[in-house]
This record gives sequence, C-alpha cells and structure tokens, in this order.
Amino acid sequence: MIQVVSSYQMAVDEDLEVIKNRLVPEGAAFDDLETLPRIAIVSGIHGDELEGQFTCFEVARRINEHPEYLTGIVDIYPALNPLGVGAIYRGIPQFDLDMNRVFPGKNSASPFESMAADIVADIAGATISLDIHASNIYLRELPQIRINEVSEQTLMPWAMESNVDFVWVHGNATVLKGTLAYSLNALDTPCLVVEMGVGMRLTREYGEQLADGIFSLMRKAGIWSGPVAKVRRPIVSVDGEVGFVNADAAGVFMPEVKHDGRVGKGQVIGHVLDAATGRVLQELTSPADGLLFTLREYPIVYPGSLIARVLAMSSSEGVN
Amino acid sequence: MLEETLFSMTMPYRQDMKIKSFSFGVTPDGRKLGGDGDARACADEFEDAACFVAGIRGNEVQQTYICARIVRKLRKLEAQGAITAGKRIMVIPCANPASMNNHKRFWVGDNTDVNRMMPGYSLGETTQRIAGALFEHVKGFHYGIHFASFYLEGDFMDHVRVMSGPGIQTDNGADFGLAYVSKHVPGSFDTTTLHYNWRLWDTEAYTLYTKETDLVNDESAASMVRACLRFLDARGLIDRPCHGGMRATTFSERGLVAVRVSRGGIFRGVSDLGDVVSEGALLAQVLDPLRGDVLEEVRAPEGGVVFFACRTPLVNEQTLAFQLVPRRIRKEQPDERGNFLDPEA
Repeated sequence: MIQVVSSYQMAVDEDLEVIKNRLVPEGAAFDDLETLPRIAIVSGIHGDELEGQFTCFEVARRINEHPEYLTGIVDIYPALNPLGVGAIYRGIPQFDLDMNRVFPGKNSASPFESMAADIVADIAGATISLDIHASNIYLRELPQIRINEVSEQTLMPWAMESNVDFVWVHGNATVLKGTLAYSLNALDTPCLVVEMGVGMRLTREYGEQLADGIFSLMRKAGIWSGPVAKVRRPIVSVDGEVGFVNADAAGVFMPEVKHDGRVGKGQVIGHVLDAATGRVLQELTSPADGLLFTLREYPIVYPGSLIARVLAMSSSEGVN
Repeated sequence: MLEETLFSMTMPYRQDMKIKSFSFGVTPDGRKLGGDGDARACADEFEDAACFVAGIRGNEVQQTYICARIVRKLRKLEAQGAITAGKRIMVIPCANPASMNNHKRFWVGDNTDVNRMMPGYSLGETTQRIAGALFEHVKGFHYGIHFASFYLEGDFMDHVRVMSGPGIQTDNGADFGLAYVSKHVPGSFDTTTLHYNWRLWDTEAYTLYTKETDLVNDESAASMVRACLRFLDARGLIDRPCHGGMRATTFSERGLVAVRVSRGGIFRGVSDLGDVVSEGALLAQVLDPLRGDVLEEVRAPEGGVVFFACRTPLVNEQTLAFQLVPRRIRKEQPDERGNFLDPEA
C-alpha cells in the first residue's frame, strides 16, 4: 500500500511528497502491525544515485510473487529526495544542499529539515534498515556495506548476511552525524549503508545480488519465511587496509583494468591522457595486492581526482 | 604590497587555477613587503596579524569585490605609512577562481564545497587539496576574517558571525562597528569550515555576511570595507582615523525569531531588511500563483528588527520568510548581552 511519509506544499499547485510502499503479511490485523518485525529499504537520498531503484523493484516483485512467505512488514522508500531523482540532481534542487547532511532534521524548520525529521520518525523502530547509495557519477563501486566504527558491534552481524562483496568499517568523521544512517543508529534503529554501482545508471546484477541479501536479512529478522539464496561471505576491512589512488594530472582517464576483482601491487590501473597532443600524462598503478573495489567511471580528471580504492589483501585471501 | 600565487593547479582545457594573495607590511626601518632592492622586507620579519579570505565559493562575487576594495585601500594606507610596523595583513580576494569563472557556487569538477573540506589534505581529492593549500597559508594569523554566504535565498543585514568554541575567545566582533554580532553554536556540519578550523588553530576568527552574494552592491561593500578598517584600527594594526560605527548588538542565533510561511505560492515581501516592526505587522503576502488570491498574510509574531528577508519569488510551505531580532533578548539565552537598538527610535 502506498503511503505518504511526508508532504509539503510547493509554490505552484503541487505537493512535495515522500512515499513508501508498505507490504504486510496477508490477513494481518491492523492492531498487530506494531508487534511485527519491520525492514526499511531506503533509496534516493542523492538524486543521481539510482542503483537502489532496481533493488526496490526486485524486492517488491518477489514479495508480490509470494506474499504467503511474508511474516513481517517491508517498507520500501524508493526516493527520499523526489525532486532530485526526477531532475538528475544529487542534492536538493532548490538549495543545492546535500540531503544526507540534514538528518535527523527538525520539525518546524525548513521544509527539507522537516521532511528529514518525518523520514527519521517513520523509519525509527525498524528491526533493520538499509540506505542504498550508488557512489556518485564519478566512481563505480563493488557492492559493499560501510559501517561507522561506533556502530560496528550492532551492525556487523547484519552486514555479514547481506550478500555484499565487502564490508568497510570506517572512522567516525564528525560530518557524518548529519547522515540518515548515523541518525537512525543513534536511535537504536540499525541502519546499513550500501554503496554499489555508479551514479545515473542501473546495474542489474548488483540489484539482484543485493535483493538476495535483503531477503536473507528479512529471514534473519523474522520477516520472510520463504527460501533465500545462499549469501556470499564478505571481506571485512578497516580504514588502514584501504589504499587510495588519486590523479596528479588533469586530463582524460582511461582505465586499463576491469572492475571485477583483484589487482597486483604495481599493476597499471589506467592512464591520464592528453587528448590534444596524444601524450600520456600519468600512469596510475595499484598501491597494493588486493581487491579493486572502487574504479573511476567519469573520464575527466583534475589533480586529486579519485581513481581507485584498493583493499590490501595477501594472495592467499580469497575474493568472492 | 607583495603579490603571491599561493597555489596553482592544472585544469583540463583551461589555464591553471591560481589562488593569489596580497600582503601588506612595513618594518620599523621602513622596508616593505614587495618593496624593491634594499627597500624589500621578507614575510618572516612580520607577525602574521590579520588575514582576509573571500571567494571560496564561486558565486561569492560581492565578497570578492569587498576584498578587492580592501586590497586597494590597504595599498593606499601602506603608501601613507599607516600600517603598523611589524604587522602583516594578507588578503585573498578569491580562493576559487575556477568556479567563479564558471559562475558556479561549488567546485567545477565535482560540485563539492571547498568550505566543507577544511583543513584539507594535500594528497586527497581535488577540493581537499585546494582547501589544504589555502589553509596552510592562512593558519597562524592572529585574526582571521572570512567573507562567506548562506545557502538560503535571501538577504541578511550586514553582520559579524562568531562560532562558540573551540579555540581562543573571539569577543572583539563589536570592533567592526556593524549593527549585529551573532553567536553561532557549531553543528557537525560546521566542523570542516574555514572559520571552525581557524578557531582550532587558535586564530581569532570572524565571518562577515553582507547583503549580497552573487550581485555587487556598492553601498554594502563600502560599509564592509569601512567595518574592516575600523576593526584593523581598533586592534592596532593600522593607524587611520575611523568613525566609530554602530554600537553592536550581540545575540545568539537561537534567539532569532523565525517567521515561516504556511502556504506555498508566490512570495511578495512587504517589509525590508532593517525595518523595525511591531507585533502583528504585515511582513509579506503569499499569493495563489494561478488565481492571484492572497493565500496568507505573513505577520510578525513579535516586535523586532528584520534581520533576514527571503528573496525567492516562489516559496514552499514552511519556507523561512524572515528572521527578526526580537525587541528584547530572552532571559533563557545565556550567550547574549544587551545593547538592543530601540525599536521605537
């Protein structure tokens, strides 16, 4: 059932609405809903990150096919920033603000802060929640979950069941306090941040992979009694094991590796090219043996542009 | 005057981006920064006294213009021998010329905000590198003055903003002689700004807000230049006859009275910045954009001075339309002190 989570009147004959689709077990009494376990699947905080769209669709489709297995509540929020999603715009179009810096929001503040507060209030209390991101238009990511170190203990058991390739436990930066995930975790509502694919595109296999993971989580939470796919065991890392490759020249980046697995230390990842002169301006190599989990997608680079992230691993450690 | 390029970065299909600074200083024996031959002084002979920074965002044109006028004024004062010996004053009018030339607020390459990347990182991503290079040159000054802008579409009265903690006390905001000094309690959002990081590195930091951002307003610019010269004079960095300016009212931003619209529509302002309004006074109307009817009359919930006024022609429900400095400071706001203008005057 489509429900409106938050609604504010815009200037010209239109309400700005954040919606969710609530799926409940067949025959569940309204009064019993409060007692059922609940999963919240969230996407579209950044309007240019669309990978979650297919995951949302796929989860809803599979539940619609077998509603008899549903034993808890599934809330699907496909677009928390509807203006941005519709306009291919990362932030909130009217203000050029990053919506994932205004949580937990505040009622009686600006419409967007109030909207953030409405969203947090609606999700709070869920058994588990996922905030699905798609990096940005510049970088492509292997399916991964990012966990703030302050929430590691609570979130790791969930992350291990989510069928991603990789779990990155990162440091607690102060600016992250404005994110939806931080706000929900602070309210004791576990929230996993998923990063996968690339901005403005859909990657079917990643969407299906994560949907499998979501059904695994639903099973763990007592929301799904049907069969689930066997999940892969993710590699877990902390900040110190991740190496960064940045451009030092301005030009056009041409990758020399595929974004699907291991690279060796010193292996060429790509080149920065000068299109006018035909010269190679910079050769970029991997800082370590390991898993290439981030690779630049957008070709134009400046000095400092992120090209790749590599998780250092010994050759005996496997990659799913 | 010493003109330097603090940072240079190659750009795809464009000339290199350069961040330039203009430094002023005279030694006790009369040698100058940027002087010729024997008259030349080196920067390490000076105390880093005051630093002005503008144009970190590409649309902060008014802020850059103000700094350019300060450069011009300091050049004259230096020639007149009016800069206190041994003190260096540095001005960076435009810290993000690449974005300004693109007419774009944030970084041209990836739309990130350089003023959310402080203190920066020289081996990091592009805007971290720009922030890192800028901060490396501006840290260590005794006073740091940043000309910044808000994301809200609207006009503020010229004012000084000071963050509470961390770092040293910054109680000299009234020396600018502007009507208002606002005190801001930083949120997580603020910890990567220039102001916050200046404070962390023990610089007495002030952020100045002017009426315009992407348009040039001469009157407001002149007022800001006078305010900066007044501050430099009050802090003993220049010797120039300055009028006293205004007796500043200091208040906590939490004490501002927010006036929001309750309907979406076309916004027609009635009150202007600086207007003294009584409780119930008409501040604006919200009009039905299709029928022309008045949907809402926005009225002052209490008496005060209009400090912020919305400028956008279209408003959503709950858009911030005005902020009023209330007639009386609330007792529960411990950070504030008195001196309010008499609203009836």
